[in-house]
Amino acid sequence: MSSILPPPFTNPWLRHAIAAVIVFLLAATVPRWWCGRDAHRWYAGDADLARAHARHVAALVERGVTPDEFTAQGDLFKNEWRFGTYQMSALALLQLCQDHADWRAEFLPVAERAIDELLSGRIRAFDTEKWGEDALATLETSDKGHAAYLGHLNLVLSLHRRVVPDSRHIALNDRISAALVRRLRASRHGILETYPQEAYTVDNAAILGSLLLRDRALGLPPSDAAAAMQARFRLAWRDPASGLLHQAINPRDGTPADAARASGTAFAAVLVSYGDRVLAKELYETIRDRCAGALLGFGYIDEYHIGSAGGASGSGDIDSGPLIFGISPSATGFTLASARMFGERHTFVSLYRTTHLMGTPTSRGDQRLFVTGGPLGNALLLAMLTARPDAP
Amino acid sequence: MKLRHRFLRRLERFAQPATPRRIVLELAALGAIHFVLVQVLARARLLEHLLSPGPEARLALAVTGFFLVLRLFLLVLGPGWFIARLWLWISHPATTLKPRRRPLPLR
Repeated sequence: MSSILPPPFTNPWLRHAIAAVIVFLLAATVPRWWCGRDAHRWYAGDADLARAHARHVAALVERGVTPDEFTAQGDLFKNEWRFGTYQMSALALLQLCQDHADWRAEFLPVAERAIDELLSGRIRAFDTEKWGEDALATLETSDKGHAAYLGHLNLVLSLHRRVVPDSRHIALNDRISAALVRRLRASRHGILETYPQEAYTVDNAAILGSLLLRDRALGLPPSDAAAAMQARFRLAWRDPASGLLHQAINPRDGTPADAARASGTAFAAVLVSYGDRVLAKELYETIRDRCAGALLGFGYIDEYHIGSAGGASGSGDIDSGPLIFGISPSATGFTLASARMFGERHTFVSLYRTTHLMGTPTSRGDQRLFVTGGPLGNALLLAMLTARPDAP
Repeated sequence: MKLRHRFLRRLERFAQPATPRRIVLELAALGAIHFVLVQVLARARLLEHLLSPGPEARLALAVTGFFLVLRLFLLVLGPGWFIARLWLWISHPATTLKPRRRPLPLR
């Protein structure tokens, strides 16, 4: 036998030990570099990357999103996701119009098309069906919550007003805001229901963000209803052990109706950030300090903190996505936005590596998309990856 | 120790390391499967199945799971696996750069 290498290296123990070291060293360096290449570009607001992804989202809005494109079990979730796709598309495209004035000609009409879809009867049918009344037709007469539909819609309208000062939706934005404030004042526990007997902190975060953003656009101080809600987000709705927000609150007695979870907290931080950066940062820091981790440079967010009330755990749900070793895909994606907003490059880059690994970004013509994202995932990631460091 | 060493030597005679050609071909095959799956999944709706798995989504979940495991392997362990196999081939006692003698034709 005559090896290429001198005899010491042909020792079988040494050969296999060196092979193991090679595997470990390359696993610890090459993937993090490969998957992190775009992270620094997204963090720096790379125009080419954002524009290519925005073109994909704009194409989705232009061609229209149907419930059949979603595979959720049940029409309610399908229609919620269709609503969410238009909402996230509008938020993302409006953010980009704020950052790049020269992109308005291309993306502002698409964002307005998404808003028109949000206002259509077919999109709000899921909410109408659950409540037995039309949220927009009963703004002045009803005291029912409609927190998801009105909260998320009003956030988009408030941002549109910020981007387009003479927005054609000003009157509706004012009417929805007035209705939400009136209902919050009348609410015993300061929380509006998404559906009858179901109240979620995330949807109320959208309400809070929308009210504060509108107040700022008008140069007004926060309303008493918004200020009371800020206090509840800081104290009443957070788990004392972990600091995370409870996913659901019982609207009858104001007690937690679900565990404190990272997916809801991370999304709430994003929604609140449109109106209150200080509260959003508090929520983000809780997630970062209690739930964030990294393996070989790939960041992740655990859905539950070990100190959460009840020591909750599980396989995940529609909010968190499937939990793998307790890691929440939703929370990981939402936290990208907060990390970018608050200048945490290291956290952003490590979370983006995981997004790149599992999301599989690819280019198609002049568009860029995440293959595993689907319409909702791509709209959502565009909004998260282009979250603005400056308050809107 | 010496016995174990001899055991490994004997094992290696049976388990010849893969040749560079085979290593490259295997990696290319995995890369091709990955590429095809990316194209398939770009047209199929995947995230929704993951977020809301149901009984009729088993096939989609299986394809998704296979794709993600393959992608994890290719991107995270793939580079090290490729170089380590080349190293094992280079350092194997039977590996030589001398051209092998062709068997003489039968007369």
